[in-house]
Amino acid sequence: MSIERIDEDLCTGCGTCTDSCPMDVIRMDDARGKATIRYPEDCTLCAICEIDCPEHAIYVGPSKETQVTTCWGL
Amino acid sequence: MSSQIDAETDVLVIGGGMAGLFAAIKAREEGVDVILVDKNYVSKSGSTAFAEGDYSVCNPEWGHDVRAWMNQATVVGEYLNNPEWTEITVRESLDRYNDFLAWGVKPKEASDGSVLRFRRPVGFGPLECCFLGRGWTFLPAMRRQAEKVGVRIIDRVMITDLLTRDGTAVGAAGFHGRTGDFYRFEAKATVMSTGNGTFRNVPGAMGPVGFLSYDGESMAYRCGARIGGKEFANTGATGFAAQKNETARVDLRGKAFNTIPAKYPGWVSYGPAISFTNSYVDAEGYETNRITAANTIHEGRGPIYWNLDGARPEDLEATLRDIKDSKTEFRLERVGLDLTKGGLFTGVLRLESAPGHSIFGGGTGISSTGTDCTTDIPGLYGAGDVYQSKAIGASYPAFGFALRNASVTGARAGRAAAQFASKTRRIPLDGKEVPELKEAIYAPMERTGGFSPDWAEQQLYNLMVPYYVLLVKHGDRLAATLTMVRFLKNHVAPKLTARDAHELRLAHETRNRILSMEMILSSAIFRTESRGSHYREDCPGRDDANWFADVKISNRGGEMELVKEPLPSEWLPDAALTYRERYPRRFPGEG
Repeated sequence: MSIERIDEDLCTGCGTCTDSCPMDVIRMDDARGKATIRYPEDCTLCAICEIDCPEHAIYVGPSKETQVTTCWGL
Repeated sequence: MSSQIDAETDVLVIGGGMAGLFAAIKAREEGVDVILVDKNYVSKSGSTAFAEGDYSVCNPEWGHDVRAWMNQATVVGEYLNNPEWTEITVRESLDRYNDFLAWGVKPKEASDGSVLRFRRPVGFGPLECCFLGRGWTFLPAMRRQAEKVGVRIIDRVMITDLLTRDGTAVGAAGFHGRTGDFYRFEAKATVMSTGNGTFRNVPGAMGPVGFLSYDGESMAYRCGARIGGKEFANTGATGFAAQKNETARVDLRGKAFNTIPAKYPGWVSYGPAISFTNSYVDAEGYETNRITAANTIHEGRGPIYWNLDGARPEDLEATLRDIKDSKTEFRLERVGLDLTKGGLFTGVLRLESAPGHSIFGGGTGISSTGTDCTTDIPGLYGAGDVYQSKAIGASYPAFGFALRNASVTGARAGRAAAQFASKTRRIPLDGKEVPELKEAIYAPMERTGGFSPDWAEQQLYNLMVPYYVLLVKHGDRLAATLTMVRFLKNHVAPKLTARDAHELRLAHETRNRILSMEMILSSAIFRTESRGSHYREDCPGRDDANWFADVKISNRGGEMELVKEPLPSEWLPDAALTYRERYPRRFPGEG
């Protein structure tokens, strides 16, 4: 699950979360002027995005599923 | 098609955590031009961003004794620390503390309005700390200070290559992690302050610092610098409030280590460890607990549980206060944990991740060649966790040492680099290096097939993380693991793929991690004794006659060359002391 949602009604597109995330999970969707979850698989649940968001628009879940190892390199 | 951005400066600082920010600000104060570049956003980056915030300032006005501070590093570090560096980091901590105050970083206050000074109750040393707050809360003030004095900050650019001419550092190159643009910096002097390393994307790790990937030491190694202290990097054991696979990411800090009732397996029944723990937990508990916990598992008496029933009320209160201060209560609520109810937490003590944090604060990384933060490469300076100042020895001595070391070495490196730049002519790059650099940097994006960084990272993690590799070491197992890691290095790393700039960064990070794991395993095989955080069950005692020495790694035509460098015998304590007096801590199996 990791970062689960950014509430589009609350997000003002200020970009704070895109700076806060040290794993580059969140990017700005320039067309819509909203922050968007682009790489959820890299979230490490630090939740700084949620803590820093001035609009309380972000929810970081408590857990993350880990992948089963495959043999072929993807 | 990505663009190329060229920039010139006097001092280039790579990495913007505590060390890099100090280096950049202090260099700029010397009157030279400074660029600070970071692969994240400066003030939300570096291990500093996730630091507890303990800063162990040694202030004589508060009755602190410099010798006691030094002794902590010396005894816990089992005499491998460089006393000159240890004294510098202790003595200059007050200057750096005063910098914090001047820059608007406010230490937490006690109820009477004075600066709060405290000791962590268990396992983190007898020395007082101040509390700066969680890293991500105080770093913005440092960023503002850097901007105020005119440091040029470039965010989201990952440096992959240190550039040298005739053996001298002349700049660096890398790419933007979002746009993919190529960046090339020309600098008269360069400060490496990229921190240490851990694995990516591991819930429940020491700190959520999955972006730390040994970048600085990898770059410096490829350019010929010696790397040291790698054998002391072991796997982090952390106590996170968690149940099942959910983690609240609240570090319980081992406050209940000594008080687990005998009905629970693990700590209490382990005789030698507990005798050590009871005697020395304040001086050293952390490393010992980690190794003895792993050994308990090794003996088939795991898993280890974390128990709060016996926690002292004041310890629990301190934990809850820390959680409240960092505004992270919601994480506990989200996984349904109430620490005030006590109880046995399942799956809480995790032995995983973070090879390196056992020795951060100057114990490992690019070798120091002097107290002005020089390295083997002229024009290259080191600071913080990536720099083996040897302010600490074979083990991390106590909370508060890492931020202090980062601040002191950062300030020193910044000043020294600025002074070097002031009297140096810039060596212009002729551009001939650019095509080769670009080809190497962007190669993962050009490949149509190969291995994803995620997959390679997972294989590396699976090899390195089990307790029997880095916590309870054995020459045979280390050699077997090294064989597989070298396979990853030689066969998988050259075939990593990336779909975009985001993944390109991951590919370069994974490549650096694989190299660093090879260094860790090679050094651990080479040092045939146990010391500090390096425990080998096949040679469980210290061997001063043969191993009062550093292990240094250097790049000899692509192969790692390991050299034993003897240390001054005067660093050892009085020869009249018995072994047990010299080393009060017992390793499992030592007798």
